[in-house]
Amino acid sequence: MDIDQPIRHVDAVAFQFSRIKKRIFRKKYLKIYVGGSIFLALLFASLLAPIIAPHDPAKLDLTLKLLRAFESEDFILGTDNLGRDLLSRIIYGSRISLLIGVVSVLFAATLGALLGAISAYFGKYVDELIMKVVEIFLAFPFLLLSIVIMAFLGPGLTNIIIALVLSRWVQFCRLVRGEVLSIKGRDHVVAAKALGAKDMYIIVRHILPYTMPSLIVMCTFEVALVIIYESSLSFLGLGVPASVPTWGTMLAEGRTYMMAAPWLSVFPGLAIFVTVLGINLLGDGLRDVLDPRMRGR
Amino acid sequence: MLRRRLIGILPVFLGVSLIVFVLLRLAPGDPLSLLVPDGSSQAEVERIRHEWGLDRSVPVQYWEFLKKATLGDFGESYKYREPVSKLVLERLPATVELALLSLLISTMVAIPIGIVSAVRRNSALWDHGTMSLALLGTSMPPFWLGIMLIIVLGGQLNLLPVGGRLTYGIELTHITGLYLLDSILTLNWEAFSDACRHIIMPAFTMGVVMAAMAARITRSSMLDVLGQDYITTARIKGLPERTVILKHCLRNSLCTIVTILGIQLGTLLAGSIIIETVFSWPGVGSLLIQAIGYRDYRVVQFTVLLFAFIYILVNLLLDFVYTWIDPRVRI
Amino acid sequence: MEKLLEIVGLKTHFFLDNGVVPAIDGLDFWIGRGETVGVVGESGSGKSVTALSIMGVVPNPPGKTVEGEILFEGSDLLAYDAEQMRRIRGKEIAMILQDPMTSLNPVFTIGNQIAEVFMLHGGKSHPEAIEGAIEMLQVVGIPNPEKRVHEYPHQLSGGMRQRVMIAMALSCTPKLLIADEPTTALDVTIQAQTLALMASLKDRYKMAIMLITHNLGIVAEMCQRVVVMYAGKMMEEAEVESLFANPMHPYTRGLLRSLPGVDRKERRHQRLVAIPGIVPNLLNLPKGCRFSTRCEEHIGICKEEEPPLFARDRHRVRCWLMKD
Repeated sequence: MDIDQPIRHVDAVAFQFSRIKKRIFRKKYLKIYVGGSIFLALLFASLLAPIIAPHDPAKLDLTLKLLRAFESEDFILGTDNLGRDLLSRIIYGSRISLLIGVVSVLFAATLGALLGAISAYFGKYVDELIMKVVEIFLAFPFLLLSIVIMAFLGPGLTNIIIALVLSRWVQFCRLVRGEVLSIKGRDHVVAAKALGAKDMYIIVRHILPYTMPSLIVMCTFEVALVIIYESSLSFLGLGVPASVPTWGTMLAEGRTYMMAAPWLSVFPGLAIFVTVLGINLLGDGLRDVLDPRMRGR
Repeated sequence: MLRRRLIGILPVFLGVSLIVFVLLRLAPGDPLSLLVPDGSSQAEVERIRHEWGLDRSVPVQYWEFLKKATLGDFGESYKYREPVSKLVLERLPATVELALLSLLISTMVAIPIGIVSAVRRNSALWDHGTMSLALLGTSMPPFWLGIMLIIVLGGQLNLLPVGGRLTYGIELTHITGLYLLDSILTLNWEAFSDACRHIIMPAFTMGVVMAAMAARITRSSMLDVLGQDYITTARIKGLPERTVILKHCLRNSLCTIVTILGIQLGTLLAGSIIIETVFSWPGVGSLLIQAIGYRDYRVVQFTVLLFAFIYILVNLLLDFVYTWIDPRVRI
Repeated sequence: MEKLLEIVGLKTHFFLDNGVVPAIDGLDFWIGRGETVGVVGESGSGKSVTALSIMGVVPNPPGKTVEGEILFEGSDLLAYDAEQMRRIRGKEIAMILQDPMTSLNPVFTIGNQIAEVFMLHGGKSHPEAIEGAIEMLQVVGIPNPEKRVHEYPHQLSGGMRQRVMIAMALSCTPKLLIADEPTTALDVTIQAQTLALMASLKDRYKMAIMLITHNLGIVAEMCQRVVVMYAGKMMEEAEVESLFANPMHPYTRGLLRSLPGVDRKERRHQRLVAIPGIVPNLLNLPKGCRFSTRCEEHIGICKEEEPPLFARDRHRVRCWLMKD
């Protein structure tokens, strides 16, 4: 209880009130709408790529090479050094970027959440062991671990997912461990234990659901981050094979023609930027709604 | 307490070295292709393989590596035939210089912005404006920002050099290896302005991304502290708002801000890999990428260990800074 | 009695995304020089916001004092600029917060935190101020003050910390001390000690106290007059004896019925009765009297029109039942 308790009370009352009124179009949801629309638009673009892409992204035509952006009606964003349509390649590129982003985060979240929950739930040496492993993984800052793993595995779609999962699961593990530590003392967990429920059942059924709000928020932000990571790795030549059109590989190729054909560098990067911005907005919005403590942070 | 922390770090360091060693040893592509001259006989290949210790089992190789590493010997580079430690450490000042300058830029910008936007919460310019910019900054792939800068400032406007640390032909006595510092120490203003022109784009690129993140965290931490009872206490004592914010509030947010610096350092180290590649900056990061390309695994191994080592040590150092900031923290 | 503080038609509102919350909705009462006035009510009745409004530290945004006057020794504090107000705070009017565990800054020694007040309002140097802090710690009964002065809040117990808060508040011998539930967060035995300390210091420094509490037992013990608040408005105001002997508002009667009477023989066999329902949503107040939704004695007009204050001698009450 502190000094602004009555204010908090008022806030809580106001919150209940808002739920009764169910006003959907509130400022609070604006970020979710904007971010969500961007994300959904991209999702559709990637799913419907064969329909909406004006050209075959792999079709070479050296007579059409390095057409400038906005100069040809047929090739709005111009063509690359092999005469491939840049717009079509960006649309197809969204498939790989989104796929890698979503799949890696799902795997990383599952792995991290399970290990984090187990670590916090069982405590003692299980916890110590898992936390030591976490500490080792944390010693590789940023995407250094992904770089090492990719240097070892070599470029490839599966490999990059493995590399990203291995370098991101730690974040989920720490988040979930912290949450579980505070949940595991709650009455319903103690009651379930007293009734003789199995440990794994308690974890999956009575503990993990309570971590979902913060887990969902973190997943959203991580998808954004992983998309940047993937493009960085591909840009360094350590991602997907150069033949696969992703935004990162396109930027790597465009770099050679940076001065002569800047559009090859501008648009794929812009695609990453808008995608990540949309997902970050979505994450901000979700956090405001799902975690009222963090509102407006 | 210090001793316990240092001992706790040892297994982490062993784990890191093991992961790096095993991963690289199992990697496809034989480093022998670098060592063996074209058209060598099978016997010749075997001799070289034995000479470099590549015929032994991975555990034995790891053990040998550890034994030598404790003595500071990390082996020779396959490609350059020089001790990897010398090769890497030679390029370290370039990375450190870039990192320090970016950290300086980002901290000087981000922390004031974070404080102001928390204090002026919900103001259109100071809060929403700066935080929108920060959101844009965190959403931008850093290497793309670098490329855009190169295209506009380096190419179209031809204002700044697009790579390297110093224009070829400019003389500079090396003292610390940090060109900005060296040129000031030797009063070599020509080299100083040239080095400035080279470093500004990469440092700005890296600074923007870090500043965006740091500003968001600072703001959130300040908001957290501003809502605490002891801030109300400070106000009802009659303290001027300036003192409330800069003394009572900031001191409590410092812990978070120090944590940011720790995370930022990680971003810096690994971010340097990408930024150095984009700007052809002759630092450790660009060396790492080249070495991966050549399968010069000893260089890769040493670089990664070095980065992890710096990262762990600095974070340990920051843990001690916490105890100084917050009397409740005991390590 | 000479009026030290007089509040006239005070309104402090909170402007939230989904509406305006009238946390204080037209409040009038006064505190005499050297008098102890209790302010009672449930959580959310606006007691703490009243205190913050007097101090001028309502969190803004979203809160703002929109109307009324706060007359302190005859001059309106709401007309003061930030600098003038700052000189009143901590010097003329001091305040103690509810939870001593969170109201001291964890990263400064308690000596520094008390010394700050001396340096700010007394113009003392740092060593002098630390001397002053040691003296104040002695006054509030903290053993070994020379040593304690260099300790951090986390090294002290809750009761000790509240004593530090009291020491800090009294450093400049304020004319008015606002104590916002000063003992709620403390153990029962410590509560009694703290209250006894406050009572003795009040005599020593001849100050007035505005004691915010939801504990009528404390009111009976400490106060001369009581103000009963409900949902941002004053419901009843009377001298303590008069209020306890003859509570006029159904809400006050409800509060008294919910009070366990340990030492009252006649009450021993009575059941404790809670007031049904909860404080209404301030965004959506009922028509008429704001207590009517929970009032067991309400009559027709209660749900139609808001009652004004009716005065009976020195007893004022906002209830239609008291109209004649």
